[in-house]
Amino acid sequence: MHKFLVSLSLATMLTAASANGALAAGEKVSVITPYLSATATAEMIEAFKAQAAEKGWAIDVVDTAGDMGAFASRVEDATTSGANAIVLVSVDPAQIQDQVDKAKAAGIAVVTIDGARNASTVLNVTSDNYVLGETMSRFLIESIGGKGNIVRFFHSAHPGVRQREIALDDALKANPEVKEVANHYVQVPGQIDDSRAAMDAILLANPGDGAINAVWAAWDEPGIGANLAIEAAGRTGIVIAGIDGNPEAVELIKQCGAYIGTVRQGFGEMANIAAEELNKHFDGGAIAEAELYAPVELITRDSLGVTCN
Amino acid sequence: MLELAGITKRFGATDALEDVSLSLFGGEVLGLVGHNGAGKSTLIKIIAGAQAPDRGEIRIDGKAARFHSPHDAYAAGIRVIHQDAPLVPGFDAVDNCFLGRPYPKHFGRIDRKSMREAIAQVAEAIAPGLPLDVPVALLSPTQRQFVRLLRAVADKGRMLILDEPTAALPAEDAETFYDVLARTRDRGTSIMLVSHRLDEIASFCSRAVVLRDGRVVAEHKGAELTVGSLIRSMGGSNEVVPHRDTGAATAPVVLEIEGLRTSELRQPVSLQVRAGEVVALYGLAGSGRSHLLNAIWGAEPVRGGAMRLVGATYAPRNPRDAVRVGVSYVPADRHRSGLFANLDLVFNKTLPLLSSYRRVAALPLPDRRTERSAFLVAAERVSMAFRAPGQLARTLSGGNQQKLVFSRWANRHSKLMLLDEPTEGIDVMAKTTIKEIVRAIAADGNGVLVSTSDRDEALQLGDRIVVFRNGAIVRTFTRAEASPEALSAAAQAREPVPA
Amino acid sequence: MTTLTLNRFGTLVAFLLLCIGFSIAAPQAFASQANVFNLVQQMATLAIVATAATLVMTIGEFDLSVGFSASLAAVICFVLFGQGHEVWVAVPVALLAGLAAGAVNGVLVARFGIPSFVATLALGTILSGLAFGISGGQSLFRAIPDGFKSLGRGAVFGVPVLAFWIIGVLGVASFVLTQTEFGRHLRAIGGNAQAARLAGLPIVRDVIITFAVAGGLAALAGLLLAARLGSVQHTMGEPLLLPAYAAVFIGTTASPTGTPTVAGTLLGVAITGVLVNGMTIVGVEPFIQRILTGVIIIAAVLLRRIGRSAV
Repeated sequence: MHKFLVSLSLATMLTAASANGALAAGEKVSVITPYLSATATAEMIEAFKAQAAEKGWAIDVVDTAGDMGAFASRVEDATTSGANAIVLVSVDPAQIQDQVDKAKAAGIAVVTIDGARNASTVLNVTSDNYVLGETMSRFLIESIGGKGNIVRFFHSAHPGVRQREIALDDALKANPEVKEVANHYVQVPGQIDDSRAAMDAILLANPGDGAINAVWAAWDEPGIGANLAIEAAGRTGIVIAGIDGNPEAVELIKQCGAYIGTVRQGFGEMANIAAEELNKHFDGGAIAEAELYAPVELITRDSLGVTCN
Repeated sequence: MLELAGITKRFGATDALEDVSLSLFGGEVLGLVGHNGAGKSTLIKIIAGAQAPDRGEIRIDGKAARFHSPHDAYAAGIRVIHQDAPLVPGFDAVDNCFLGRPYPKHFGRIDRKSMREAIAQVAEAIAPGLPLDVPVALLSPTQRQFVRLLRAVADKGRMLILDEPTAALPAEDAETFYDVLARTRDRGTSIMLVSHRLDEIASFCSRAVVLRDGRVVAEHKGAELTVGSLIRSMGGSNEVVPHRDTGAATAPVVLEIEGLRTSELRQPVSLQVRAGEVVALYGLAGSGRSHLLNAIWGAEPVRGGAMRLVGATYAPRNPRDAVRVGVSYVPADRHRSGLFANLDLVFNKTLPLLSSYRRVAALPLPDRRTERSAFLVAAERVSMAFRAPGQLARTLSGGNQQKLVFSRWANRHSKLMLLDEPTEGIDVMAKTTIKEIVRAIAADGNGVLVSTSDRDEALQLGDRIVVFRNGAIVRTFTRAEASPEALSAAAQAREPVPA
Repeated sequence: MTTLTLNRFGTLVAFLLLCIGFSIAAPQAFASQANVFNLVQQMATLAIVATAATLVMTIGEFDLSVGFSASLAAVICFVLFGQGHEVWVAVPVALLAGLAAGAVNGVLVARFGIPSFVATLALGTILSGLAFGISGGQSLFRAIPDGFKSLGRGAVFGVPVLAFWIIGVLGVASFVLTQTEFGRHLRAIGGNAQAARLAGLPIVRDVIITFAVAGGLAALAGLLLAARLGSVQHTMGEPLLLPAYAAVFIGTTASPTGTPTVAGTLLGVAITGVLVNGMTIVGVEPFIQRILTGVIIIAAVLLRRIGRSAV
């Protein structure tokens, strides 16, 4: 309830703000996400805003703080307010298929960034989440020598995260000597504190050297939480890898602790591709591909040029 | 239509009702009067099916009826309308009238149209012009009273028992109310009117029955149904008022009020209370005496006039100011306004003057031991019966709860003590004790103002008795001038009685 | 007598049973000293926010803005760090922001008579907007002084720092509620506001102070959480709200009259904390964890009811 009111009030404020902007500018674009508190999502939206400013679009940004019901409502609002395009960030449009269908029926171009392919959207720009998960899983499993015990932090409600989990499942099948000894479904918001508390408990449930060799974090923030727990417990011999290239995670990698790697999606690149394609659409051109991929980048001590003893 | 024959009801050793017989005929308005405690409310409860009589019979249309619950009485067509019976504020009159009744349906949907028609038909007959489609929260108190009436009549009510129906209504609306009541009667509905407002009973009822000490003592009708005859039949208490000379007539003035006005008082009030004197404010509920006490206590805004306390200007903005300068107050309705039911006795006693129980004067930390001994002293002084100082206030009997509220002020010398209905809802023994306490407080040299709706209490306590009616003082009696009949006549009079 | 004792101490017994159950299920992990330390640290922020909720519930009101105040204070503090300010500047400013927000709640409730449920929900919404705006929606973690982090991390004399915070804050709150004139006032207002007003208590002042203190405590909890995690997200305090009130409600079952007490609240915090921690150690599925948590809260309150009616 409170979350709903939070998003509602923000939406009202932001819509009001954008209404003023719309007087001056050309195309009207609504950017809507339930996950603005996640660093990566925020980064994509910032990059998209920069592109939009260049192109003279009037954009408004709405965050529903993890609330999918409010998210659907805001998409409906954007549809009725007559936006020229709706950009959904970090969310699978199939979760709000009705609303997306209505937007399409109203002749509004719906584009997803970091989302999923959908019949009612014109484009999804993403780093292939499966590739992200695959890249990180391979790196993590190699770094523990192809065998050992891992802990999984996940959040299957997010479609991109789900793809990464599938990549881990496949990697585990291919590496029978790697075992998943514990897992935790991360609570959002509050993901870092929640992951830290969970890791505290998991460490105690799995004492002894070698009981846990690695932590697989579906995105960086749970990894950061797990890292805090490992530090506090003084446990060694555990490595962590995450996904997203979160700046705090990059700092941790530089510090030579348990955190050894993250996979960076080309977030800015994804937003740029989405803006370019949308521009083509506004100019009357057609968007050729239903899904486009931005390149991924593995960040490790090596890639950062850090040497640890 | 409705007949009561030989109804008797006992509570413990006391008779609440003794061999009460009366009949209510079709299409008449019967008045029922009597002092507090004469048995009116017990009688109403028995008619309503909420209590069973120990002996006697209720007959409806000549046939004996046994009410096992209020539901049975309801089914027989009896409707008791209490003065503040709840309505759903957000519902309009039509929806309120259909509460608890099966809704007419039209293809499975609630048929609002036929609901409205059914109610409008009755409303047209008894209260034309009553808005039916407006939430009752937006109606006047009088209109809401009409809605209650409408609700009772519309759902096949044949016998209405109205309990103090005009107590909460502005005096100027009483006539409109009785017009509506007359139209209701003319449709063949029988009405029993229970009221303290004897003039209303005298002018509107065709017959009136007087209860006294649980018995029917008189029935007046026609020309002999007057305010005077009712007052005589209601009688007074047998308690001998001890004559005492307090010497208060020459004592210094504690409280002096000049032309005090509040939103609830219809005329400016001027009044004096001397040290050692008990001034009783007597009047019916809603006559303005409680509002005056609240204004003196700083709990209600003052619109004009001036007060002086022992010679100094006194203008409290809130009760805190009043406490500080030595005024004490025991509110009416202790459950709502006085008691902390879920907290212990010591807590209840020490709260208003908490800072006087500090262990170290500079630190706001109450010292339990000091509090406890102060409580024990005060409890002794008001002769409160209790199990332990740590027991919860709600576990005390009504009389002891009232003594607990009194005990708050027992350890200090209050210049002025304000008491609102100090003996309401407590047993006879406790009443006597409380009255003794009040006299003792005055004997200590405090000025005391007692507001009461109990005439006998006003007579027993007051060195002077100030009678209120409709938000104004109508007359002030000295003890020598006061008699039960004179007090009732003043409180009931339509026109202000010249002093 | 036995029913009475069970009635009075039923909640405590339930807590001990939970602990014994988990100790049997996972003797090495759950009952270890390390886990007790973990529990204490995990409970600290919730305990402080729940104490804020306890104060406000003592006067018979609700404060739904506590989670948002916690987020806002943490965001303000970290933004100030980012601008190069010292701990002694950033922390007091953040705490004052919480106090001020709480005072606004108090004024809305006591002066303007807005129901606290509505007033604090609305103000909380505004606070969350401010936290969002000030943080720019970004996770903040740069330029955090080690001195600040040590407020919520590590141990002194072998006891986690956060344990001292719990003892300090809850101890003071409990003392104020039970031993001071101000505490008496709060219990009187919660017991019967009308009677408290007519008894001459300064109700408006007391209510404003209570809400202000609650806001300040929420801010403190937000700062300690930030110190423990080393980073701040503008939504980080929100998950504290519902568990805080759950803890207060569980705590009321430990009091004979069903009123909130600091000790009861601590028990409530401990029960919810132990439940989540224990179930994670034992490896209970996440969805079952939530179902069980809800079931246990209802069971605790129901048992209390049954126990009371039996007396």
